[in-house]
Amino acid sequence: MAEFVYVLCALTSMACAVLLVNGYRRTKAGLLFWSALCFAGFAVNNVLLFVDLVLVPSVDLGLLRSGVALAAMMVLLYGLVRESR
Amino acid sequence: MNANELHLVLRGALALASWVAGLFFLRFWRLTHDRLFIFFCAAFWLLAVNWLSLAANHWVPETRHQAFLVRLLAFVLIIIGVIDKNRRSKTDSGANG
Amino acid sequence: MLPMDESPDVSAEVKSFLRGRITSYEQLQTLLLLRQRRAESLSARFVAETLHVSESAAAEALEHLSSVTLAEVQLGSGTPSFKYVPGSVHLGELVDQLADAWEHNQLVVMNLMSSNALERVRTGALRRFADAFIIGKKKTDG
Repeated sequence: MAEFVYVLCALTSMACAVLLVNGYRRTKAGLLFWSALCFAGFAVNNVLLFVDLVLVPSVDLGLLRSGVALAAMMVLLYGLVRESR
Repeated sequence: MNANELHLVLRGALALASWVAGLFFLRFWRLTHDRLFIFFCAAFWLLAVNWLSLAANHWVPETRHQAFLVRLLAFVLIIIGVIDKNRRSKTDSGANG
Repeated sequence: MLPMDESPDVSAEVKSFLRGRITSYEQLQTLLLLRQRRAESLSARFVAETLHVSESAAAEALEHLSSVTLAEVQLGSGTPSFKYVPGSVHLGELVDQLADAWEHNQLVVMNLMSSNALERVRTGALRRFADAFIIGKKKTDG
């Protein structure tokens, strides 16, 4: 059950990242650039989640995961403020 | 500061950042009346709940996947929002949903 | 009697109509001209000469009006012409109200169009963001 949840997190976050990156490629709109970067970061964060809790449970990657997610959010906030005028 | 404390700080920051991101998307919805932004707002607020709950509670490996159900829901909401947007764009003649 | 934010002579419905279907001054003038001469079908050149705008601007306005169901292309020999054909009775009534407002209170209508234009610019980037998620259809307009 637990592994299922982590796999789904990884998959759905990757799907979102793909949707956003494609959206950016299609239009090159400013806000999409930052959002795509953010969700790419989320995808990495959630793949790391799966790696951390399922593949290498003896190693704690928690700080790395959260660090990646926070970097992604900082990028997104920068983009949101910048594109908000 | 030890690793656990640092982790708490990071997750607190993540919760707050997600709350703010949600606020932006709420504002975008008010400006455009496009339902897609509501989905994004809700997703980010769910992520905020996720990070807050990870920070505030002590989770044991057996049950901690429950904390991530909210995160899963957040991503699913975005996917649903995109599907909804595609459906809407096919049926209406340019008016916003 | 009217709510504080409603300017006299222009109802909320007409405002919404303006916001949704008329995006330029040329379109407004063209619409009013078409309506005035509703028994005829007008060509882009005629509209351009009457309104003192370029023929391409007139053609664009006519095409836009037909895309929002306010005019219809009349196919015939040679150049296409357009006729005033509102998409519904209700739509026709709104155009009548708009024409009335234009006659009595041009400034109000102009101000509405300016603020609509500003709003369109401000939300343009956001609409592009939302539209970027539409898969398959290639949208050429902004």
